[in-house]
Amino acid sequence: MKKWASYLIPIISLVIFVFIMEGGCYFISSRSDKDAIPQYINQIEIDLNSERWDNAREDVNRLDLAWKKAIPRIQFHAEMDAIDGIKEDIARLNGAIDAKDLGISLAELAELAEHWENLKS
Amino acid sequence: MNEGIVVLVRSIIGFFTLLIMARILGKQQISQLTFFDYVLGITIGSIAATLSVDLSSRAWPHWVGLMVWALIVWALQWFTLKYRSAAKYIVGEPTVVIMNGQIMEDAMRTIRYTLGDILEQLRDKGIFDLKQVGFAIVETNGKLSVLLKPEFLPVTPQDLKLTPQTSGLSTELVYDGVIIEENLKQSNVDQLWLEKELKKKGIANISEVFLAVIDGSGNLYVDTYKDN
Repeated sequence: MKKWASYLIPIISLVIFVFIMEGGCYFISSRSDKDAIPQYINQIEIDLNSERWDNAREDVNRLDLAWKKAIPRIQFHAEMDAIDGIKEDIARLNGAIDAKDLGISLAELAELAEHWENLKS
Repeated sequence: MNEGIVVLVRSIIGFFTLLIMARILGKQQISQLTFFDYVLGITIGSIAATLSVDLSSRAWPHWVGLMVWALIVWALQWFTLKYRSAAKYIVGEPTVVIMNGQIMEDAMRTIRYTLGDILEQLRDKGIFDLKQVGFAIVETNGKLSVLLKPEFLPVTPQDLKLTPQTSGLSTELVYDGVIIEENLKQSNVDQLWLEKELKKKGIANISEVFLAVIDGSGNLYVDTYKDN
């Protein structure tokens, strides 16, 4: 093997490894509006504050879809607990909206937003 | 989240990072490792294992830890190669525990080596009589090097004024029934010569040969698949 190749192969490999492990940060912040989870979080908050429960329900469903699409892109970057945490937050948020409980809904939404922010770090 | 795929990708990352680091850190053999090197190896391996299967935390911090440990080892290696005094301080020095047949108790106490340890390592080298030992040195990897008193040293061809022939390095010419052309050229022989030599040994076809090796003096060793 040529000498330059013996240096280049490990360097390229290490760069690829770093990209796989830290590329999630890039995917989280660079998605289109359709998949923009923070946008859905804001929208749900507005719906909840004005007690538009049906709209909130629809937006949570959209958020759930966007989140499911995001998982394969960030699964090598994020820890399993953070991914499961968001999944559980969405499920509890659904329940709170069904019960039309504003307090719990906002609390769950705030936790979801916090989990999402933690994924970026 | 597909845990199986994540573990697969993380394992590949851990495996090849370790491979790259091991190649960078050099060719020290396990038997040459000091106690500290051994502990370092275990720590680095343990971090790689966590990186591979611990999905409750991100891969990145483990990978950074792996790289930092490996880079510190590499930096220490470079430092000890460059500065001899640093090598003495970091790696330590060999300690003489038997000098001219006398046991050095103070030196043994310093390195926390017992008489039992010395006797055990001497027995391991086939020395059962302390009287035979001229010098014994505990190396930095904990192994005992022994120099016997002249009267107990084995006789060498030089003592007997003999001139032994050097056989040189052996080269494989046939392996698993297949001729290794490159080695034929290197040994300055050709296929015709090889076939003639095999015929002399009663072998009609090269496919019958499991291994054929030529030494520096041109002697051929042949092992066939047929075992008598």
